[in-house]
Amino acid sequence: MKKKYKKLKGFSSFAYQKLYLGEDHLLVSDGYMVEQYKRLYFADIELIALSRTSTFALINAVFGVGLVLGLILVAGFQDNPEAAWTLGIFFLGMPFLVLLINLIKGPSCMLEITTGVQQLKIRCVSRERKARSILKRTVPMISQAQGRQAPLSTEELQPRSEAPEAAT
Amino acid sequence: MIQLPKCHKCKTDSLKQLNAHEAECSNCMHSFKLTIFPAVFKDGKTATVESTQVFHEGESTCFEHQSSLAVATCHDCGRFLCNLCTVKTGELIQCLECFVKTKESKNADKIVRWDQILPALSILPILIWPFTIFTAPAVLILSILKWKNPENNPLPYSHASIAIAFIFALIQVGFWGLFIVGLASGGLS
Repeated sequence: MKKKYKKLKGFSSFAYQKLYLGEDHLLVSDGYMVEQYKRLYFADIELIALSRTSTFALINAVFGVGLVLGLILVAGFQDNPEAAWTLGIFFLGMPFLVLLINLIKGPSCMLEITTGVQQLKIRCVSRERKARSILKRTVPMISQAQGRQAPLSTEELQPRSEAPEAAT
Repeated sequence: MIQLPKCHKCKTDSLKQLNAHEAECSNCMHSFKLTIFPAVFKDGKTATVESTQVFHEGESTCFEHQSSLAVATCHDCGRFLCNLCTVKTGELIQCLECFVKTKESKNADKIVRWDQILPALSILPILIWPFTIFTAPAVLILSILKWKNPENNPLPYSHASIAIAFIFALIQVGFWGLFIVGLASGGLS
């Protein structure tokens, strides 16, 4: 059987959502074990909005503080190196690992796609780097489906959006 | 007018478009990167479709819009439909009424993924192992019954996961068999 969809993004930490790329649409699958599908046809996509969220900073702050507290705790066990090692692995290792993964993944973001009938939050794409790579891949396809080489520019948008206001 | 999304930071409709690539929330000053496509002007196109007139005698008109030319018929009820009333679901053409009926009756886009359920059902009960006496045979039966990919599933269906779940359940049934046989023979002696 010919593979109809390419997976763009699988489950993220907090969202049971997956994003697939089809020939002429994006497929958003929601849920685990019982899945529900939403199709966003390239010809219908009006707007894609990308904005940073505070998750990245929040994780850095929480686990940064955790790391400092862990350091203080481990420093208190200087007389007992065995206990210091055991505590260190848990109280320093875990926050350090989470911080490292968070830093490698980069800033967090929210990706929203608007069509004529819905505004859909793509929750599985929660990192800016991943979102940009998805946009890099899909924007030319969406533009092409709407008979263009690239999305609308400010100049193209200005006269059309201002025309009704000028008439009134 | 472009319909911008809500600001997810302050949850208000205060997004203000700066140019074709940027918007800013006037409430919390959070910035958004935009990519706008020509489909934002699509409303104008549908308006022209609605006003399509019938010029020639003998041509069919839409069931709902008497002034619009029929371009298709509904797969289920056979009504003539204009561009505006046509709902395309895959290769099927339906009127809005039949589309809603189909969606409600079949729950069309909701699919139970047995290729995800069965591996979980064969592995997770091991944590409370006595339950495997019920779950393992259930997995064996369901693996056979649900082997085929559901017709309306658009995504690949993992037969490998089902096969692994089947083998795992078979091992569990084997262990239970040995346990019962051992118990019976021990009891007899």
